[in-house]
Amino acid sequence: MNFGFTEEQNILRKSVKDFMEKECPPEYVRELEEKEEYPYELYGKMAKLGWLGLPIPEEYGGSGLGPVDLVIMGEEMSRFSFEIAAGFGVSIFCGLNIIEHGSEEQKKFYIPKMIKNEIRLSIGITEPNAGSDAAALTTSAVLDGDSWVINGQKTFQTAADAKNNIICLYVRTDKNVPKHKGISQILVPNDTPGVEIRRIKTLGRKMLHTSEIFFEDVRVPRENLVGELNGGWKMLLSGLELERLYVCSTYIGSSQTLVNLALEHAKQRVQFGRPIGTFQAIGHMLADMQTEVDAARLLVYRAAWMHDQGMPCMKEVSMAKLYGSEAYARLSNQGMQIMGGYGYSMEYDMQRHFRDSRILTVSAGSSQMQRTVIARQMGLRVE
Amino acid sequence: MDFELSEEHKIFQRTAAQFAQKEIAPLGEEYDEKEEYPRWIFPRSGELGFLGIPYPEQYGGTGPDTIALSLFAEETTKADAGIAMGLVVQNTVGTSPIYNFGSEELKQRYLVPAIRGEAIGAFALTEPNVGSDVSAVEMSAREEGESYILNGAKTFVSSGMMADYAIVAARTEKGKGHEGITIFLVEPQSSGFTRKGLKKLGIRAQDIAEFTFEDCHVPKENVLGEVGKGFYHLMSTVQKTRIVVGASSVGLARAAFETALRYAKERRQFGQPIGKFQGIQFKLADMATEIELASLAVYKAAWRNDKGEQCIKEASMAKLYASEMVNRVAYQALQIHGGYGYMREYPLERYYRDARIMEIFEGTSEIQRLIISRQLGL
Ligand SMILES: Cc1cc2nc3c(=O)[nH]c(=O)nc-3n(C[C@H](O)[C@H](O)[C@H](O)COP(=O)(O)OP(=O)(O)OC[C@H]3O[C@@H](n4cnc5c(N)ncnc54)[C@H](O)[C@@H]3O)c2cc1C
Repeated sequence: MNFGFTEEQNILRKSVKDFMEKECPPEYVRELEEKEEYPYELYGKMAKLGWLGLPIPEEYGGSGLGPVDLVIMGEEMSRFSFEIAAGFGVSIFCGLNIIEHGSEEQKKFYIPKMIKNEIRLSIGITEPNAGSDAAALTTSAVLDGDSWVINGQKTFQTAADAKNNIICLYVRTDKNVPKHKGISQILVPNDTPGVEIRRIKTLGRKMLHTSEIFFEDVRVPRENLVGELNGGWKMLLSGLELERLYVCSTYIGSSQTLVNLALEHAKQRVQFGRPIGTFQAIGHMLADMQTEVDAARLLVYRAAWMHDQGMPCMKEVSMAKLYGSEAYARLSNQGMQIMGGYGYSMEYDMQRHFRDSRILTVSAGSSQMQRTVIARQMGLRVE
Repeated sequence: MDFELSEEHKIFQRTAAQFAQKEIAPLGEEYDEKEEYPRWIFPRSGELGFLGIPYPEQYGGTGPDTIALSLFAEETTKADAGIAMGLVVQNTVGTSPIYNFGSEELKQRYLVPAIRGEAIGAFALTEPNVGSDVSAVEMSAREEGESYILNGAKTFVSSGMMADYAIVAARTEKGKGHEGITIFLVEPQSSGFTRKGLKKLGIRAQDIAEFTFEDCHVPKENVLGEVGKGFYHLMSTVQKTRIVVGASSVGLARAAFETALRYAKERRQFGQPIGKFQGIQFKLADMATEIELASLAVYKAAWRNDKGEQCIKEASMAKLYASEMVNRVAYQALQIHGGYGYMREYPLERYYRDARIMEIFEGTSEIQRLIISRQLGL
């Protein structure tokens, strides 16, 4: 057994922390959220340090960080802002997918630009009638000469409306085969004529934005197809473990920060002549909260370690996702309770955790879907 | 044993539900977004007799009737929690100290128009350093000639911005804990009084304010009840407000549950309605069970209160269970809606935000547990 990190990993953790402390203080996060603004500037600063390429293989201009390093980055960034850490992952995992399945030209063209923060990548799967059942998607692409002509609608698209964003769009390219076999991935810049993006108002995630996208006779060059025609389902699932792992890491940093906020309040707030943290009800609540954060963190670290060792880890990743997202939502609820009326007030940060955490048991595979994955890995044929 | 509502209560419930669904529900989304109160709902409710449910006819009321008040809170909160909360405050803490402790003249001047919905009341007890521990009131009231001079701050005052008068607790004697607190009726025009709106997560149609008092003069005839006995006065009616918050919680939970049940039957994934999956079915079964239990606890406490029986424990249990229940229900209802639940276009995210306050105000869950423990002799 060894729960430690390498020297390099400790340095990585510290440099992320130092950078975020300087560049991403709570006032900055509040301001961006208030203005509902994408963190272009901050990602620009990260790009200058080469961070947007850290998980990208060296041959494409990155540093080839492994899963454990990625988890460290996600955890440390999310201590300062859940959304900033989440947005960081959105582009990078789309980029890694292109690296795995795309052509040499695509990799040479898109990846360096992404690393330099000149473009962003977002992922387009969900549709009004294809949510958990993603393979039911119907947005279609038909080849017409040298172009793909795309028609249909996507919804709940995170960060799709950011400047210079390319949508890694999953479309139906064959209707006459079983649903998993007729899906392809096509790259569609979000300013292509015929693409209409409409912002949807949501409870949280206000910096990254969530949108609906309508495609009406959208034409993109034939070479924007990623990899094999009708090979999209495989691409959609590939890299999922690593992506989910990263997503989980953003829960644990955020969770720790909110527990710290609640703890600080419990130490300072005096009622009935003593700090409220000295009441057993509150003290025990905080003890449970920290235990949950540590449990969530250990589940993520274990899955990252297994991934690093090349072991199959879908079950472990799903457990980390299930537990971490539910813990974050539960903790934000308890954190709000500990802060009383102040927790409910928009002047304090607790309400942001409450709002941001609520979607996490739904997005990136809902809790119900994670349970199904886990149960199946346990040999149960649950529907 | 008899678990049926009386005929009159059934009729009242139907009328309240009709009013709430027709006149409040269509406003919910818009006024939450605008963070503004549709003020005409007050005179309209007054006209229908919905603002004097706890008071006798002689002041224009229709009560006293805690069961009816609970039914009203349940039905209106089901339509929209923010708008309902304005009417709930008006029917409870925004008027009760005047009815219970005010002079006949104050009743005529403030209670009667409040019951008609022509004057809006607010209740200011909480202060920056005074939350759960209400006996720690710091705001001072100094006697001077025919007036009291108020200095200090109040916060989290529901309806505070739109109020035409405020009921304010202040300390007339220093260092006496539960003793030495007095209740005043303050008009916002008084010199030395200022107010500022605060932003909150939910029940956003309802406003909430911070009050500042700087040498604010209040005439002596505006004292409610006995000087120095304010804490005891206020505590003597908290049960009723707790029962009503329980009823509101039940109403909001019903709204969330009914929306989720409909959705589970309509939304199809993997070739079938999601309500066919046991994971979803059992959530709905649990939700329905919990709503039923909370409702029983609320109406039992209301029934006892109407009989004039002691119901401190029952009121706290009802508030505790119903307020925690509505948060579980709103959480699961949102979950059943998946991504749609997170979108402003659907009411789920609003229910989720609105539900959260039920466990905080009118005594947090921890304070309810404290009261129940004491009632158990601990
Ligand atoms: C939307 C809204 C509307 C409101 N409306 C009004 C109003 O109209 N008028 C008014 O006067 N007030 C109002 N309030 C104030 C409300 O009643 C208080 O928020 C509530 O009493 C809790 O006080 P606090 O927020 O200061 O929390 P605190 O008392 O600081 O409590 C913080 C945490 O400590 C816990 N705690 C405290 N003491 C103990 C203990 N002894 N044992 C265990 N745990 C403990 C609490 O349960 C809570 O979890 C409103 C608040 C809100 C948010």
